[in-house]
Amino acid sequence: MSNITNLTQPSRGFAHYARLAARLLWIAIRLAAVLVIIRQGSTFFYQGF
Amino acid sequence: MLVDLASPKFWLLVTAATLVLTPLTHARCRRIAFAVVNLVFLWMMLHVELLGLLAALIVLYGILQVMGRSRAWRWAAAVVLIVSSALFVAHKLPAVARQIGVAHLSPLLVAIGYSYVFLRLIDMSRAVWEKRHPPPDPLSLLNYLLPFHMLAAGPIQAFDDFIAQPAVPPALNFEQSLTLIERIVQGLFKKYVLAFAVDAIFLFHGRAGGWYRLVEMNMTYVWLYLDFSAYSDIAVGVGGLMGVATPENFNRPYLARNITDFWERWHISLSLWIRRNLFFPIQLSLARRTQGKYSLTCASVAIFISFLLCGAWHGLTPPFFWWGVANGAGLVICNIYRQRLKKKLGAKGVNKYLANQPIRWLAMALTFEFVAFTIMLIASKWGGTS
Repeated sequence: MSNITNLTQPSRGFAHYARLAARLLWIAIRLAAVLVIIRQGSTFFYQGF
Repeated sequence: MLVDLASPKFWLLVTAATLVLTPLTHARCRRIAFAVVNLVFLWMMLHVELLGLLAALIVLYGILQVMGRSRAWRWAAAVVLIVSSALFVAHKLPAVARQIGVAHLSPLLVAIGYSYVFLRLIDMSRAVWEKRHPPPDPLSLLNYLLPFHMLAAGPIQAFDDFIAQPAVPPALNFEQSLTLIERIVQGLFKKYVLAFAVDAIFLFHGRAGGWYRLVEMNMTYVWLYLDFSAYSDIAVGVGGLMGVATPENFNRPYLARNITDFWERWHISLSLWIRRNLFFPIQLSLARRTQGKYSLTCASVAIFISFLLCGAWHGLTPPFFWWGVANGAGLVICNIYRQRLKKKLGAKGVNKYLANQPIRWLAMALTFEFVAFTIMLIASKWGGTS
């Protein structure tokens, strides 16, 4: 990609990092929820085969 | 003890395995490192019993050498099939285990998820006695049969795919690594949050009666998908981070428009195993005996027997027998209906039929209900909270 394109799209970098931050936040939220449930020590178990 | 995905030890091992395997670009070093990781994991679960397992692997290694290189391959194949099947029956039926004096092996068989190991062993043995591949060396034997991230609930990797995977996988970039981490987190979230919520809110494990049984039947299917596919998400994510090929196991099964389509989307690695090792050999044998006549009947018989055996693999109890019967019958009827439709409508007509949206939605709903019904037959397999 040429420098000209980069200059004309100054928000591209921001959008990328915003999306990355959102993904990381979503990972953190889901992990936090998992940890809360695990700490309760009460999960339905699958006995496997 | 089963693989405990909530254990910090498991995740420490995953992290260590990823850090060790990622920079290794020498094929043999990678195989050794992965074998060490698998051994560490097995040691964490089995302790001293690991020595017995290793002794069994050494014996198996010897038998596979005979199977692949000697004229006595039939005897070697028979020994593997008989012993592994006997262990399978003992694993499924504790009373049989006590009767044949192997009850002490039960915790070990449960810990390694023997049902899955059994299928991998058959797949590998067939590849060896059919001379598609030479007998595996000890490292490959361990890494194929007992990959720590696939022990809990599969997937069941085909031996051909195990051999075909690149010795040194291409390095992951940041985006790929993040996507794999998201996959693992998605699996954990499905299992510990979504499946847990569905269980807590909707499932009463047979205590509710009346119309609610219908709701519970449907929600048990939802719960099973969330829980089971979660294991596959985690296995695929962990395997991807370590650079170990791990097959996909689910592809949006709720979108299946018939039971054949369902089995191409649900527990895919098991469906492919059944196709390779049961359906095709049975169908081929029947076709030879009937000299190619009655192809639809041969296919129907092969499908039905395959799914009876699939039911037996899940459990050697009457509910799993009926589950196999229901799935086998569903698949046979679906196959016959498809053939009739093709005959009646022609290729163009079938395409038009398949493109019809109301028919598609109706077919999806019927398939969903049928699958939920078959799962209800075996729902007592799971249960309780821990």
